[in-house]
Amino acid sequence: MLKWLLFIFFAFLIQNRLRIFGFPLTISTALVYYYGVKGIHRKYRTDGYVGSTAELKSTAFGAFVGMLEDILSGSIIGPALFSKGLIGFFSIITFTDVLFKWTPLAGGLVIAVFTCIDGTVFAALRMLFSDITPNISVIFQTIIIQAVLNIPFGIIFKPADYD
Amino acid sequence: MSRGKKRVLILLVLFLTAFILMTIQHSSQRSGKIFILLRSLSYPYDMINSLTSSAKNTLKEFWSAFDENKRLKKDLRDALFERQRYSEVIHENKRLNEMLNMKEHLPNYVTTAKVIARGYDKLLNIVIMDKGKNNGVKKDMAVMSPAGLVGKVYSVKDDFSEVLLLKDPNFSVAVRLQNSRREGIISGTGHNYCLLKYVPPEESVVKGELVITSGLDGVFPQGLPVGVISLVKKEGIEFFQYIQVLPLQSDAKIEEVAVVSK
Repeated sequence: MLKWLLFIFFAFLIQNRLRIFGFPLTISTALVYYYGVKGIHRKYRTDGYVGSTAELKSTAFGAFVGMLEDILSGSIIGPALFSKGLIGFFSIITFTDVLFKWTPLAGGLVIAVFTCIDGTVFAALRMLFSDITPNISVIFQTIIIQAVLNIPFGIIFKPADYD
Repeated sequence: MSRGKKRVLILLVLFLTAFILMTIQHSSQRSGKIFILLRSLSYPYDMINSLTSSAKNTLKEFWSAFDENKRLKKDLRDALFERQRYSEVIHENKRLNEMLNMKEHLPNYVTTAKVIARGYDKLLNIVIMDKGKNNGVKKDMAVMSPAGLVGKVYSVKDDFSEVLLLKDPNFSVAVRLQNSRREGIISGTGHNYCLLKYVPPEESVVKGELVITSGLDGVFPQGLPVGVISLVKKEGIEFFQYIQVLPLQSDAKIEEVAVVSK
């Protein structure tokens, strides 16, 4: 658990400090994805299903990371909690129920899609509950760039039972 | 419970948690207790974040100071060099002004020259100047500086000349004491002083009196300042007084000179 706490800490530290082409990174999304796919292990599988505990853990981990992100942002708690919770949930079921098999290409595409979902859900909820009116085009541009920047993580992070 | 129901339940819990939290916060004040509590949770992270930020800034400042220090050192070196150059130009300007002033007051002025080297002959006290026959310089012409007599032209080439200095033992010039008007002959000694010869003991010679050329030798024009009396000895002499004269122009400081004809 301490390992994951350290991962979370460094993920926040890096994404807070580092900017690529002027865009902030979303390493926390990649981390939640990583936690999810790491939970896919052969010994837990029964007909492709890893069990509700693994799904619950992955969702809870995502929600926890999201909650920390919300707290650190100083804004309302909830948008990142929900979006990251969703990523945690989907990252584990994508390779068990949707795609069935992980490949580097699939991993890259999935993390890009997840980053887009995370960013979009987060932005929508923030706009809905914090009464802010940001520039939508800038937000989408940022989300797309973040999605592209997260692709290498998707290629590297593979399920625990991947051969 | 089936797999699908479990998943729906997980998503429902997530959805409800997030939306209840957001709704509560949305309806409450930002300065409420819940916000204060949540902000205090992020305090350790904020602290570390600020620490890393300040460490990064310190490093950045250190490197910037290092670079700036290097640049400033270079600038300082350049500025010192430039100042030295300006100082040299100012001194040169001053000397040339004096030469120009001298030129206006010398009726027999021939040319102005720059001393470019010391003579190579070890037996003679000679300097070489950058003007020669082509500039109208002739042998035995007087060579002056703004301070006083320097010597005479010893040999002339097309573009340069050798000047025999006042302190050389082979140099002699007919002089007169400015106040007493007593005549004599000055000869070099090889030292930093010259000797004023042929002044009888009954003549009163005062230390500090100015010695000028008399023009009676047919070589040097009349009235050029030569030196000042530095020592007068009347005891232990034979026919004439022993008088030391300190040249007005030190041979170690000659840079620009004027050549004067008779």
